[in-house]
Amino acid sequence: MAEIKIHGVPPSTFTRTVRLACHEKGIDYELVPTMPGEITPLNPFRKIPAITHGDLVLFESTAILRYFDRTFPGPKLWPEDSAGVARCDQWVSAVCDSLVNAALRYMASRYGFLPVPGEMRQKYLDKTREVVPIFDRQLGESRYLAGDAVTAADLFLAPLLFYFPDIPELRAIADSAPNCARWAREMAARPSVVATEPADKPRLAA
Amino acid sequence: MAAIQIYGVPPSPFTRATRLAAREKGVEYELVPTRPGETAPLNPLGKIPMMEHGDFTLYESPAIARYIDWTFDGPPLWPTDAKAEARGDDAGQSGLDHRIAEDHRFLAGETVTAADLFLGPIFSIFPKLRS
Repeated sequence: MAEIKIHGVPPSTFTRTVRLACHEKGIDYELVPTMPGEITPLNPFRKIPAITHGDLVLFESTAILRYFDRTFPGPKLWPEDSAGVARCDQWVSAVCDSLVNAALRYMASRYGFLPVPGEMRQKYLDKTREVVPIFDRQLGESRYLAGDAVTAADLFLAPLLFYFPDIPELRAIADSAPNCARWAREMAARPSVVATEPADKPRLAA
Repeated sequence: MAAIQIYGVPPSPFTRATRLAAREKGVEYELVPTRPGETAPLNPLGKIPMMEHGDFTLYESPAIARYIDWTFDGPPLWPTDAKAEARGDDAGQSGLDHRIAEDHRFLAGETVTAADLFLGPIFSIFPKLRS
């Protein structure tokens, strides 16, 4: 029986990030299908995913990945040196703040999960157009987001960018980011990414 | 001379979190007044704060706080065992939870951690916004 239980659903980008980390590190886990409205006993903030490991209950994906990295053997998700750790933290945070507050919100509104006025939706799209080139520039300078090896930062970026081709406005932004495209192709070939591909993706709201 | 430079402005809660981190660790810093949008070329995302330590530059306040914690002597801002460290991370990233506050003296346990340094600057603004 798997010691780690991940509570979430496959289409959720953060649930996928946590699952990707398990696959990359070779951690056995059980996915317990849980929607945001059902997660309250584990996460009072009502967000997925949360994990349990024995009597430890943990929410917030960054905290979960860092816990995995410290607790389990397998390839490191963060570099070992102080500057490398900081650089990785920086990109994790940049994805979780700048990109999530733009692209993920735009997707959520397009999929009908986040009812916002059209004006607000447009702001999310404009912001996405503004920040994607920054990631693209970085991926032009290094093979992965925080250097020459896959780190936690890539595991946060991948599930988000993999939705871009499904939404025409975001596909147009991705089409003008060639380094992101090269990186996405490399990431898509990883067994962790193949294993966590969501079977039922959300459909665009009419 | 100050060990590090922090770029930001005092009212910014994230700037304050990084300044608190430096103070708690006993690290001398210089605050370089910088507003959002004036951050290029150090931060292409246009946000404050940023940090400079010699020729190493960094942005995103959780990354800065952790770097300060790792690099300098002084009281640890993150606990040293994996479980407690993880709780410090999740508390810090989610903000105030009343139940956590009832269970523990501080957000992630019995001592001040990075989580408190992130919550404090936001929570201290609340009374000023009373309508």
